[in-house]
Amino acid sequence: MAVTNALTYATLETNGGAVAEVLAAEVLEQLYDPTDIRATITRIPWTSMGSDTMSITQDRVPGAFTAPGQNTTVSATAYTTADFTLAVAAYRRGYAIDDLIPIAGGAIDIDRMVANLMNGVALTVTDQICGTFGTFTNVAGTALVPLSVDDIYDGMFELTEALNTGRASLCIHPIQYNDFISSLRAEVGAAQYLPATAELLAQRGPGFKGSWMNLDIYVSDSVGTNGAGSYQGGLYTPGAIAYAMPDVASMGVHVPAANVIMNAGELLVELDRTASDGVSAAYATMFLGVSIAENARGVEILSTATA
Amino acid sequence: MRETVRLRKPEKEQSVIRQDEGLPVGPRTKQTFKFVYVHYPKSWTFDRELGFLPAVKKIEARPGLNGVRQNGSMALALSRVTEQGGTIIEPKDERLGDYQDYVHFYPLRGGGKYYVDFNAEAVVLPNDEVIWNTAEQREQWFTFMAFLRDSGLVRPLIKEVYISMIERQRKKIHSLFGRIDRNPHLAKRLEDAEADLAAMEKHWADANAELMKAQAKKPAKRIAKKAVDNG
Repeated sequence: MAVTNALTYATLETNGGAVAEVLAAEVLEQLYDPTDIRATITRIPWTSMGSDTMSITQDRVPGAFTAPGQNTTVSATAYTTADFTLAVAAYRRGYAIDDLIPIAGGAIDIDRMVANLMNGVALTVTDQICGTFGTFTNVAGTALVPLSVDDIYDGMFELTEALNTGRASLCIHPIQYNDFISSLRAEVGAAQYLPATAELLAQRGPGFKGSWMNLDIYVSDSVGTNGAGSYQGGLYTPGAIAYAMPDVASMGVHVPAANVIMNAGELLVELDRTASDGVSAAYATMFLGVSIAENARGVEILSTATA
Repeated sequence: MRETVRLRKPEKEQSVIRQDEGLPVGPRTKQTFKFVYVHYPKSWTFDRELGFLPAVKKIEARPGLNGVRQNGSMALALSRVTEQGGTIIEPKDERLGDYQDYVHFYPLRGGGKYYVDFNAEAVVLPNDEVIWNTAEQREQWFTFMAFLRDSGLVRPLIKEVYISMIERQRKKIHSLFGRIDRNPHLAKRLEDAEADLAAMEKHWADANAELMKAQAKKPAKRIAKKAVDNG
């Protein structure tokens, strides 16, 4: 005999005994680009000595001796050094949360916001590093044309002509990477591409895609475009780009110790409680300066931005 | 004694209508900054129709980048450009004509500006996805570069740079020839590269022929030069 009058879920929900949705215990990450290419550039220790700008001296290139001939006085050669500057500027981000959210048991709390702010440091530095690529005076590739193996070779030849040696880093946009891989796939007899393994990813950090012809390839959505709608990637050797991140502890007494949620050297997160509004906010501050240190050590990699 | 107070009819609370004006800010939208166009003497590109074009670069006023100060001052960054032989194309230069104030922006929803090149054109889909019209952007950009070349805002292409461009193009053709037997798909690129080389040589020859004609119209100057030579 059929059972009648069973309490169904729909009825219970209608009568208030069940709710339409509950929150899962887990909060998942949305897709984003965590590429961090700080390891490919040179860090200059910041010294607080009365300016927001630091000049870094580059020593004179050593020269071969000259043969003066007999009974000839040798004149001293001018010791011509070079330099570049790093000007640091503040970068900040903040999130605020209403008091009702923890009371209601919302999935997001201020700790999660602080963790989110910490992830922003690498993104800020990567944005800034990628911003230098378009300012290299040497260019390989062609605007509005998909990136090809030939363009990367051209960039490598430029670096070799400029006396660069050793391993170089290539940082390009995901669309440039796709074009490059398509070109590589179509080439017979091209040098072998080594995709990133788990071990290499652990060594080189997120964004590393693999190696090809002694190049470490990184992919980042921070790579910008020029006016023609073409991406401006970068191919560079160590010493091409330099950065400084002053220690936030230098702010000292400006920040009451009780407000500091985190002081991680390069990043300060402070709590800002506004009781009258019932809102708590976490503000992160970092200071950053990135510059091209030596133009001859880098090449802009130009190619179409159209997928 | 307190009196009874009769209030007037209550005010109407206007419903707030959401207005979607400006560019949407997605979680992955990057901040943009004002910029200045610059040109370096060796930075030239080639277009078969328009000829040799100056490859213009952008220096962004991004604080902390290449010496840009927190207040957006670009003095250090631009002095670096000058040191490297670059030409700065000031946005306020009157010779730019219609291109004057070439830094444009889209207002962002919720406030702020999204700086773009003068030729950028955004389309916002119903799901707030932004699509940039790159096809029209490229034509306008090439026209702009031709304008910069013809108006004398950038230094002209010198013969040595032209020769290096030609040599690079020849090397490209040789390289393609060397691989085409194993990579038949390169035939189209080889064809294009050869057409580019022929067009480069023609554009250079035509431009110099005009220059020669222009010089031939000034006999007085030639006589004066001869007199100096004799002296």
